[in-house]
Amino acid sequence: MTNRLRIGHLFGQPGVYISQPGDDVNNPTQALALDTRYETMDIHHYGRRRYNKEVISSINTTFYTSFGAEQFPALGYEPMFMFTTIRLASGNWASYPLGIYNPGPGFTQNFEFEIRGNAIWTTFDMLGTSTPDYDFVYVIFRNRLV
Amino acid sequence: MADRVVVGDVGGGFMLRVSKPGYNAYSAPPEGLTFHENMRPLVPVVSGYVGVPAGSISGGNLVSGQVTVSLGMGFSFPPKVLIRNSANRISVQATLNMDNGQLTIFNDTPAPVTARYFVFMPF
Repeated sequence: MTNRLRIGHLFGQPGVYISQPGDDVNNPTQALALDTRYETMDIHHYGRRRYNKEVISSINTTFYTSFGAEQFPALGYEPMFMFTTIRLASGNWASYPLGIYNPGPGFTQNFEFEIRGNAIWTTFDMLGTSTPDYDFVYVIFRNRLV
Repeated sequence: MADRVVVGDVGGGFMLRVSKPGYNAYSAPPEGLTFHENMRPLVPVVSGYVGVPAGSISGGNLVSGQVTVSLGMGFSFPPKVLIRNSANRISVQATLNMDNGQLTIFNDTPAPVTARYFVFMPF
């Protein structure tokens, strides 16, 4: 029977190691199912918030801002994060991978996402004034950014 | 030498922890651990491969090649989606209808590609 679980010293480091079915954990030929030499992305907080749309017709641009409006339990350091947006104009649609994909009325000119302490600051602007509403969705990890 | 691996009952609670070098697994803060028993990892609930037709030019406009796959579930909260083509480039993009779980993948290149997608739930 194949050994799939090893707790202790392996690959030069103490840890917990689990191999894939049929693969020997002591001499694996495939990526391990669990390999504690490396960090696992560990979710701290996630949320969803509507952007405040501001149409500036004189320059044909729509701004979306959410400065510091979204907060999460502070970690005491800068965490890793992921985000995306949901386009609300024609239903409950999410777009990947850039977060903002708007094939109809305009395109994104600028996008900023920043964490300051326990607050999230975001802004982006889009060419055109008939752009849809957006929801901003984020996941913050316990893993350090730096 | 620091205790790097802990498995078992510690003070009445189950513990399964592995610390980073230089941290003691009993006392390290979460960022000093590579694994712990209260972890909430990103777990892919759906993954797969799909062929995406080539994009084309029609009347001077780019027409994306596209294909729609059913993920088999709707979503009340947007999942995270990781998508790459077979050359490991991000030349594909996608939209997800969260109500019915239909993921439409677009290809703007002039050649067909195979896309791989992972859908992660954050909870």
